[in-house]
Amino acid sequence: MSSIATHEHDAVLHHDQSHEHLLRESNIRYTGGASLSTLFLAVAVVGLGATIASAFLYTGKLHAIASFQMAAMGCLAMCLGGMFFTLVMHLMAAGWSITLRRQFENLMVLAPVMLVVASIVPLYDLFIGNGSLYLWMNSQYQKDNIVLQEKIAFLNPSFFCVRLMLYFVVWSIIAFKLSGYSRRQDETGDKWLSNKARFTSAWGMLAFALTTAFASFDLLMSMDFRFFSTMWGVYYFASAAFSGIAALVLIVVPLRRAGKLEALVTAEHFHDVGKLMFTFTVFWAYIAFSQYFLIWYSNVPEETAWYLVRKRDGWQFVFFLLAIGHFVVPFLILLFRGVKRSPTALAVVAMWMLFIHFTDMFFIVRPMVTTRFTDSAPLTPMSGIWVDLAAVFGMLGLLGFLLVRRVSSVPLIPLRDPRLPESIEHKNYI
Amino acid sequence: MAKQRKVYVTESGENVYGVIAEFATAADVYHAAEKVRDAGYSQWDVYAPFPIHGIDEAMGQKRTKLPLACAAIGLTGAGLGFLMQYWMSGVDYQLVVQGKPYGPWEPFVPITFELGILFTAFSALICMLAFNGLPRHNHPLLSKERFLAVSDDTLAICIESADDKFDPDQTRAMLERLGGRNIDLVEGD
Repeated sequence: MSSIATHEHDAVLHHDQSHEHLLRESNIRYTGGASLSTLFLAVAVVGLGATIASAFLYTGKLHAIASFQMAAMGCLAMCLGGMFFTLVMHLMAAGWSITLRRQFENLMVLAPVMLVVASIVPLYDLFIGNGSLYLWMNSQYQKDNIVLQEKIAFLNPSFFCVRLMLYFVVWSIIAFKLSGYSRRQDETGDKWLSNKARFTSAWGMLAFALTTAFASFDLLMSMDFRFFSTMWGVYYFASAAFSGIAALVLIVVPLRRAGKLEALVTAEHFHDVGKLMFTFTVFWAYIAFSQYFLIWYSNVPEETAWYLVRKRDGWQFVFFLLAIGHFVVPFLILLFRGVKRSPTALAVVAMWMLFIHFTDMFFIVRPMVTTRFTDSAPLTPMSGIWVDLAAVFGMLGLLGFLLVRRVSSVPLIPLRDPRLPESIEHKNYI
Repeated sequence: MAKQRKVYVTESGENVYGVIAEFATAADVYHAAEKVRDAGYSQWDVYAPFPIHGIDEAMGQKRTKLPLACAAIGLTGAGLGFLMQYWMSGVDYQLVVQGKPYGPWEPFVPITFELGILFTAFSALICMLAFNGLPRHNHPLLSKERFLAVSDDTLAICIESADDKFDPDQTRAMLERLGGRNIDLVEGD
């Protein structure tokens, strides 16, 4: 028996109950972020600067604000994805993901910030731009468009501003409550804070679902006030979860490369993260197809018009790129067990997922530049593409800058969560 | 020419199926499995009334090829489903429905998906049974009275005579060394 008890990989008899050595400072604190955050800030300044410059020098204001809004909505989705996973992990009392939760929280606290960024264009359009991108804000349409007048009870400036503030308040409360409990638990080790977080997540999930859906109606769908889709809220949520889990991989893998989170985030955790990436690849495809399919089938003009402009003038290639790149490619790659267990392979897939996620936002927002009632020359996807690229890289730079600062200011895992040992010992038995 | 396998026969003329040994705890059988694996045996199994986490690693079992079979058959099913619909409504019997074009891909997606799932589900079940050599009517181990307790409170390892490394005396001695109890020969094919 003695030789059995001292066996190194004793999975049956003994668990190593002490994880103290894993919680050493060098493993759970990221300190080298100063130069990285400067780099991100530089990218943000250059990218967003180029976007603003293009408004006055090259492609015009409408294209510039569309690119900016597309990038902002893409980044907001990533932060909302972080909020969703934090909420759902508290709700499910998930044990395996404790060592990942802090990074979801870091994304989550940036959701209100990104909402402010994503509110710049609509507020500009409301007060200065006279509805150039958000057509319902145009005073001419408000006066003489019969469709808009039917929707004026919802689509009117004051209620719109109230809703934006409501989203900001709800997301701020959820973010600061949940990250606050988590940070306080780091210091006090009070296990009852987990229960409080769970309670907050219960109503928070409902509030999150409603606010995310309505925010996507307000910030994306209302650009073309003639169009409506009841799937829209779920569609944007699917994008949020899809990009949020990809963002997590792109935070955690570099941290592992930098020698952090050793034995805290292992192949077992990446395996489950890979499963979630797979899940939301399929979920997005399901939602995207369901939305398209019903509109295609029922053939109601005010709905089909939205897809019609996105299936011509070169946009049909983006349409099929999304079908292949947002579903088939990640689906087939993530089927493989080896991919899900390899951090490097997952990071490559995550980068692809973010690329295709922004292509999705591009597909939603950019055709609005030509979907005026009085449009003249159609704008193809590739015309002035550098403005869109500058906006996306600039916005990712901004998000990256905020994220790096946040990640370096807090411990990389919830240090004293009661389920931490469960997470460290997490193992997939299949 | 394939290597001729030795056939062991008991004194009463029955073929030897293998040697079985009982173990007291999950930990014992787990560590014994590691040793049997390291000794290079391949035709053997561990029997337990409950799942033992990590036992497949301790036994050195390779991952199953079942997912590959499911993927191949499932994708075939999805492709056939699509082709079937395209042929029916796009080629063989064209009908104008709601002014839609002939053979559009959109309405084919749900049934393509369903047939993909159907083929995958059936291939998973049927290939799993086939890979496991099921269904079968009887098993030599079932003739052992003591073996029946592995569905209740006993853990056992049985090394089969089909194994190249099998040797009645040495295999028995090894199981004894590993702490096996009630070691016995199993008769049958």
